[in-house]
Amino acid sequence: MKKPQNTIAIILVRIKSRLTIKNSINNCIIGIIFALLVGIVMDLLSRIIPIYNVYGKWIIIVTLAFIATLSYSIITAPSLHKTAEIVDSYGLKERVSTTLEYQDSDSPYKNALIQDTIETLSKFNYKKSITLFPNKKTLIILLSLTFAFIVAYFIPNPKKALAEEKHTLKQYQKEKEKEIKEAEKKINEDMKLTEEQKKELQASLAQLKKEIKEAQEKKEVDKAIEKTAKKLELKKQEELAKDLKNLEDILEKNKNTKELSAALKNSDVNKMKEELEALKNKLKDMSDKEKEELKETLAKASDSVNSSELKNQINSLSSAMTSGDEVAINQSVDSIQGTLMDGISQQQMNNALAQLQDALVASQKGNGTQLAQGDGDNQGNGQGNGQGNNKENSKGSGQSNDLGGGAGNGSSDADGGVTDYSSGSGIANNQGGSSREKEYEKIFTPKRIEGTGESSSLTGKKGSNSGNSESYITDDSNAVLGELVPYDQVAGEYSDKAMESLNSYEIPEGMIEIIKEYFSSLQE
Amino acid sequence: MDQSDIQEVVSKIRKVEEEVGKAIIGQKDVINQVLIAIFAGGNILLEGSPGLGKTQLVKTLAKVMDLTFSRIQFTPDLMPADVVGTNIIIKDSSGKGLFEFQHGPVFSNLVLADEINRATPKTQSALLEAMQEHTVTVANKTYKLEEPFMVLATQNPLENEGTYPLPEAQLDRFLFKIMVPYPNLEELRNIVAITVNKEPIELNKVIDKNEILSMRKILKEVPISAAVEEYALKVILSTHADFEEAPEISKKYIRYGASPRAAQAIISAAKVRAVMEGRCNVAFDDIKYVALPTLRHRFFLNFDAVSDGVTTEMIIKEILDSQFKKA
Repeated sequence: MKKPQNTIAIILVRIKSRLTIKNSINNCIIGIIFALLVGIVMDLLSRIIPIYNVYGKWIIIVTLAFIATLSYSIITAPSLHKTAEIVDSYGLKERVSTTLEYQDSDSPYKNALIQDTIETLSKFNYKKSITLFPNKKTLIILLSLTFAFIVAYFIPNPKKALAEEKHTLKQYQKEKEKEIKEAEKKINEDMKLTEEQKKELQASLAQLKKEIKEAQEKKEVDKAIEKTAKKLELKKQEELAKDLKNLEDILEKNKNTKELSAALKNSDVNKMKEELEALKNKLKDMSDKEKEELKETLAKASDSVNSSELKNQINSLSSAMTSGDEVAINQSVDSIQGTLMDGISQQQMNNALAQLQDALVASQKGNGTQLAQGDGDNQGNGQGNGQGNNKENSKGSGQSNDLGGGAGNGSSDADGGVTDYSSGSGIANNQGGSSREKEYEKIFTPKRIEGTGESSSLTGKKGSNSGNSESYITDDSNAVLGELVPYDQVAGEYSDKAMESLNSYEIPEGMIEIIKEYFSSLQE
Repeated sequence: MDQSDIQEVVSKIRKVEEEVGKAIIGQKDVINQVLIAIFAGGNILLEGSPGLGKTQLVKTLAKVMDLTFSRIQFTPDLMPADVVGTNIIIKDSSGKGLFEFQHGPVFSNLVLADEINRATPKTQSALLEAMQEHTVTVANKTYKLEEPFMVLATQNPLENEGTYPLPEAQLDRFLFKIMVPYPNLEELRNIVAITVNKEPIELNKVIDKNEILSMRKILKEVPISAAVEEYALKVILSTHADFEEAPEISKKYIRYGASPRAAQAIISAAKVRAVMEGRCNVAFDDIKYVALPTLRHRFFLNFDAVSDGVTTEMIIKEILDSQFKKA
């Protein structure tokens, strides 16, 4: 037989469920009202401040509000005692709550109380008293806000395109920052790098991150990345140059590699090739002692270089020598030869760039206001080729393919000597008409694979046009002279070097800004 | 105890009410409140103009409930011994003189202290022990009063000349202070019709003193929920200006709040009222109903209240509302 207390509990549980549903409905409506208010405010704000994907964000807010209010309603669902108190407030004169408190007591009134409560509860139509329909006032507010929100949705948003653009930039920045973080992680985990190198790389990446963060356009992000990549490339080249120098010093101490060291010192690629070939042959006839000395030299050489590639190749040669495997020795020597030649070429390229930079700075210092000015659609560029057998003579000629009008001043100083430079400047400011953006002209950069010589810059005055010319002197007329690279790449490098040099030269303050502007204009 | 036992108690009270109603026309609330106080075991102070049937009500109750009844007309020259009794010298059969206690009118179940405020405070205080302890002490000898013992005092609010307001300590011993209102036209017509034109009404004894005592025991056990009890206690505390939950009106106008005896009074009276309403539990409404007669004489207002025309009734209503909102 069912206990009378259970009858009360069953009725109360039903009422409790109804109360929870009622509270959930009311709370959800309040949540949606709040979300609508936020949505309208966001929508209006997005017309002043660019906000990306307002409606997407609003849907998230609605969903969150809905989940939050629903969760809140479930969490704060009334207890059985609270339910009893609520039921009592519908005119049951505290019968139910008193019964719950006294149902387990020894009160002489207990049975009478339970009996009375069951009778009263059975007459209580809770479905009628506790309606699920939300209150009218709340409903009116909800409908009004919904209407306002719909109206706001159909009003065109002038800032929408801008917001989308900013969002794309932000995403791009995030993507790049993520890549940088991954790179940082790899650097930290790299066992081959020294702590100093790691710190240096981390600093470069930190600077890059900062620049990316501060970038206002996607182009600026790309520029920052490109700039850092160039810096790192230069760093790599510096390291390679150091390695070559160390290698020269170590190899010089062994009689069998002395000639090879000299070839390296002179950056004489042919001689180096010959010496390496000779070394291969010598190895066959070397005494054990000589081999041992050579191995020792190679071990020292391996220790002295930072390049892991070169280190491995030297170690491989050392191992091949120990085993006496000729094929392996040949392969090792060939691979060392390849790496060294690349290194020398790169070094030569660096030298060329340094000379160009020096020439540029010297020109600015010497001529002061010799910066060329001109009007035209494009900048005039000149290309010059120089040939000669004698290092003391220099010839230069400039050509311009300038489409607009420009004026340039320049001077050529070819008075002989190995370090003969010609310097000049002549850049037309791109002020008139429209220019073809991002389609930079290709200009010549000297890159000699074979042969030796010096690079030279010439400034030519070519009618109404202006342009830079660069000449290259070599004693080998069949040398590969270089290649055509986009103008902006070279200009970027020039600018960076020049900016770095600003602090190390005595330049009048008024000129610093002019120089900065000039180099900035080069990259535009 | 089941529902039928409760119904039996209720029906007995109803019978008393009906029987009293034969002699007292109208005044339903007064009769109801008097019965609540009697079954809660308290003393009653009836305040009203002369001729409203206060004395008649007490006499009727005594008859219907089969209680011994004494009436003491309080006057300025009334002495305490006139109320409680005194030792007198009597001679025994051998002619020897002996002190013998002569019982005063207080030795009754129902004592009507008519116009209690006309006696001096000394005489008024003679009732203190009887009202609270249900005992009387004369010449170091304590005499127990017969149960049930109740004092029903009356006072006239109009004639203040030559009266002695009751001291706070004595007022606190009255469970209820009931205001007897003037009858309306219909009630007045009925009073005239019954008392002037017809023969005197014969009243029946409905219950006796033993039944009253057993009913009191039953009524004390009526369940009260924690929320309702808290509400009642907070109402009492709200008559104290320093109670933080007290409404502003209390803080502004109350000079001295109700004593803990008021808390006992309000709960026990509410229990009786609940059963009289046919319920087995005390509701908020019961507390509200008994709060006015229980509290109106238990706290005292300051001069601001007097000058602003604020009455104790106004304050009690404000307290009841403010605490109910919080409950």
